[in-house]
Amino acid sequence: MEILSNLGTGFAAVLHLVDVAIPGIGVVPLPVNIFLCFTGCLVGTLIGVLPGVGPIATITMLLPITFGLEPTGALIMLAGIYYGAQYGGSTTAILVNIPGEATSVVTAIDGHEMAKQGRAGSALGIAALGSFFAGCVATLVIAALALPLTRMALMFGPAEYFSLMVMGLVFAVVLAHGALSKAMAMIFLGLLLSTVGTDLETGEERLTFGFPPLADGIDFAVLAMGIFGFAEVLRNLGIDEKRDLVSKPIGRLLPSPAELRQSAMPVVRGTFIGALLGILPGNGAVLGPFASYSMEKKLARQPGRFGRGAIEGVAGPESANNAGAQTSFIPLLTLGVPPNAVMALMVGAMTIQGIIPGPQVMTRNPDLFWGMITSMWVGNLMLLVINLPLIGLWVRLLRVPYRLLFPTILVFSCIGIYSINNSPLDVVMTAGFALVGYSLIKLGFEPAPLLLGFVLGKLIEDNLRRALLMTRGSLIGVLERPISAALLLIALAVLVAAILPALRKSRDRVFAE
Amino acid sequence: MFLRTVAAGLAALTLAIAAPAARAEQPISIVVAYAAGGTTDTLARIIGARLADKLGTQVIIENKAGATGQIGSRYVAKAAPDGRTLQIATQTTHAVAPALYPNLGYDPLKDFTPISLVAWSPLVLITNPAFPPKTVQELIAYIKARPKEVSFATGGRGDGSFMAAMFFNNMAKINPVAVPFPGEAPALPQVLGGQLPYMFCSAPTAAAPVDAGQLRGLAVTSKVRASNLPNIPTMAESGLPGYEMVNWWGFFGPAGMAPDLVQKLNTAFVEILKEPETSAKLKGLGYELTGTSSDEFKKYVGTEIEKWAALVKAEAAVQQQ
Amino acid sequence: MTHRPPRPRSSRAAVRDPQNLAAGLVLLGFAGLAWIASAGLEMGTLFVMGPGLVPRVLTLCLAAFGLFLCASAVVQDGMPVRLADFSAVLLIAALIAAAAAAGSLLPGGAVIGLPPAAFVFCLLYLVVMVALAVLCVRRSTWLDRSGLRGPVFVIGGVIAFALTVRSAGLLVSGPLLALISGAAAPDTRFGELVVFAIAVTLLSVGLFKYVLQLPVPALIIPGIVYL
Repeated sequence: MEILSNLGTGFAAVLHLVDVAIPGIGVVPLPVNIFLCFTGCLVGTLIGVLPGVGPIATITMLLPITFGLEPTGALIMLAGIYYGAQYGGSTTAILVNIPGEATSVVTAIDGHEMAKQGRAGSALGIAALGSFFAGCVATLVIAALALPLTRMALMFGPAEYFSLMVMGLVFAVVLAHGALSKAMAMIFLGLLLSTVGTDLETGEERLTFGFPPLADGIDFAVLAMGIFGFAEVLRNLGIDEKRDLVSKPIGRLLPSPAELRQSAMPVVRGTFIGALLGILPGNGAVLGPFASYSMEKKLARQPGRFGRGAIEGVAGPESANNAGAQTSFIPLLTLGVPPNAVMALMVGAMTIQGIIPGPQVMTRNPDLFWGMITSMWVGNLMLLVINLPLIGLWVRLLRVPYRLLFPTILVFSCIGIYSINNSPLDVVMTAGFALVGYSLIKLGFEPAPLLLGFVLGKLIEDNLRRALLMTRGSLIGVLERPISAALLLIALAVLVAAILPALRKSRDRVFAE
Repeated sequence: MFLRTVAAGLAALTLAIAAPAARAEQPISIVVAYAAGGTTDTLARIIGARLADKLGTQVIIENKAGATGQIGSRYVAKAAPDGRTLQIATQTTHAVAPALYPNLGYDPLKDFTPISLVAWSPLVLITNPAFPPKTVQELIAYIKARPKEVSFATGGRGDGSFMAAMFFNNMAKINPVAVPFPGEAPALPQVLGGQLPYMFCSAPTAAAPVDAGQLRGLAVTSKVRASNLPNIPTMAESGLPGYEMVNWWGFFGPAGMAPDLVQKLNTAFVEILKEPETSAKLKGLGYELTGTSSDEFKKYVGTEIEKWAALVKAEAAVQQQ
Repeated sequence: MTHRPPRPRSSRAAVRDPQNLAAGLVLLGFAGLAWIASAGLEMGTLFVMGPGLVPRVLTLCLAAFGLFLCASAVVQDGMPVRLADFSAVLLIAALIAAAAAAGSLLPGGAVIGLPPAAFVFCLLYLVVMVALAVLCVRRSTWLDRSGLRGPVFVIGGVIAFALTVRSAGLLVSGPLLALISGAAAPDTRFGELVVFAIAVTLLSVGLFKYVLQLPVPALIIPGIVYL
């Protein structure tokens, strides 16, 4: 019952009519917050679709505009940009194989494969529908369980985060569809790249070769855009690649009933995993899509389809991604602790409005708290409304001959990368990574495990160092903590399950080539 | 599709041609050496918005984060001293960094023109409510009774929370293990969840959970009690006389700014801090406002640099033994 | 003339999986680089881990995988390696090495805002690219078969963009990128590309600068226009 009354407060805040003076018409009562929500979702979709431009740059630029708004409306709009961008990012991942965020790396694997087979419409459609379902469920989860879930999240110390991230690395092994040893090598290369930059504890520079721009480490967008997006362009321009993405007819704009049936359970499971991981204040949301993908691949009757355009490989991770994006608001709303850089901006936006984020927001500003949660449901509906009609447009975009499409991709990507730090050097570094990524592909390596290793590397190392400081250097101490031990056991089980069949298969595989 | 692209492009071109007059005057950029969304950034945005109104020019906040604030500071040190590039500095960038990093690449006094110290806020020594010590003296005794057993959280080397703890350890002659996090925000849940028993945390961040009873505040690090946490004693009241440190924020420009330019900006900042609405908002967030003259600020930074240099030296000597 | 079936022959050769051998050697190369770069870092203990511990351990793991791949190349059959796939990478690596060598000989100080080595690299790159463009007109099939065409023009376009975006603005760097990289595709039609480059640039200026309000300069003519 309490939930209902709380959601009532929320809807009242979202639908709240404000008298707006419109020149020529007079004063009209308008649901301003709905407009702001819509604007946020629209801008979010736009920046998500544009490769390289992330929500951070955009929200930073929009912060001054929110000064003039009333706090609830301002935060509703910023939240819309955030999950709109998560959503839009998968479009680019599917269409041109450029993951803008760590979370859409997984979508790119099977999603882009589907696009190459002329099934872009199905992939985009299931991403939209899955995300909508996930968003709705996650909103309910936040409304009903935010507080108990927060208490659960607080049980995670450095040891638990370390074990969780190690489990994530194991997912990266499952992610690969080629040779296992090469996938693992890529994970280690990714981990190694993540150590580049300034050491957190001593402030020493590591592996930078004395090159100052590397002092802060490698930017994820620069690396991902290089070894995924640009390398893909180089590969398509290669000697014997078929270059036109859609050689077959456009195909369906929405998933077929059979595809929907195939995707139903992955969507539910993805939502569950994503929502759970999103709650962790240490950026657990980043693991959601990876976890969902490996789970689907393990559960599938023919795991071989994964990596070759399996719709479950889009449905599950996309749902996990969106569910995680929503539940990562929980630590922000209940603890005032931002789990990632975008949430840190939300904290800033609240503070600028004079609201101190933290446990009291719920009691002192119930309109804001419940309004924001309810707006997420409204926002998800809007995203569906905005995106389903756009699918036709996106798919037709692939009809542009590749000789014109790739310069367009390059122009948008370069501007996007430049805009992250206003640094031309980032653009050059992306080109460098493109060459590295292209060579790696030609050597039979896959870039996805490298990216996952890179994303998790910093978290793993820092948390391991913290955990060992706390246990005074005892590795057993890390295992003694129950949650940590359980996570490591799961990791071990998944790893064994992944390696055993691969060992048996490896001899046949080589001859099959 | 193609026609539509061209049409949209042409529309943009028209806009581009129509816009230039408005941008004739180069805007003032306030460099924040940290990522957007943090305390320094928030302060810069609140004050920056008022500065734009006051001076009638556009003010942009530029986030140049990295290397605990060194990248942004180096950038400002090399900028032209025309009043178009300012920095909102903290004690981390302009007092602690010279003590910690010998190859800093800038001198806080020689490469910068101080404009005004605008705000400060104390740190609070916070513990998990389940942690036995309830006062500073109990905490010191607790740690002394368990050498090398107690750990605590910090926001990483050079951060206010780290320096406050270093100062505390040095004065109380204790040696607990510091567990570093990238900033206060990720460290806080560890104390909230009881994974780590205590930390020093800036008052604006700590006030909400302390009020809600999720954390216990043992002491504030300033000479006087904090206005938003009046029930928490100071360190001096808790038996550590002479312990005083605060996080502070002030505006600097590059070295060599004309005195009348400095005066103009100083006046603007001082007036902004006196505006009832702005000051009420900032005080509500946990900041104490000052608004000093350029000379006072310069003197203050000088004493701060000496203070931290001495502490870092003393601590290094302790580690040597 | 003897009859030569391709498959059985390769499995009797010393290196049966050239791709894995190359992959292993590349990993060993990365490991070697990382080992050198992490040389001065302290390892620390398990209690207080130094900054060098994790990089060193990872480097060793990477080297182990490199050795494993090299070893497997002798044991089982695999894919061949084509020089054309790597010609561009090797060429650009050679240019970088040449530029680094030349840069260390030149006197210090920045040339048009770039460190000397970077300046030399850009210069060399431009010369090579123009040379290839001329070849492209004469003997375009050779350029395609060599595998140089795609990477050289794409990377060239990106470098041109990076060099001009700050000093000249998007309205210059955008078309430059589109036109240079456009030459990477063998079926490019010049007229079509020009129209498209201009349209895409205008669209992106509108989107990035005016819709999203990102601080990207659109057009800079020193002393006259700053957009």
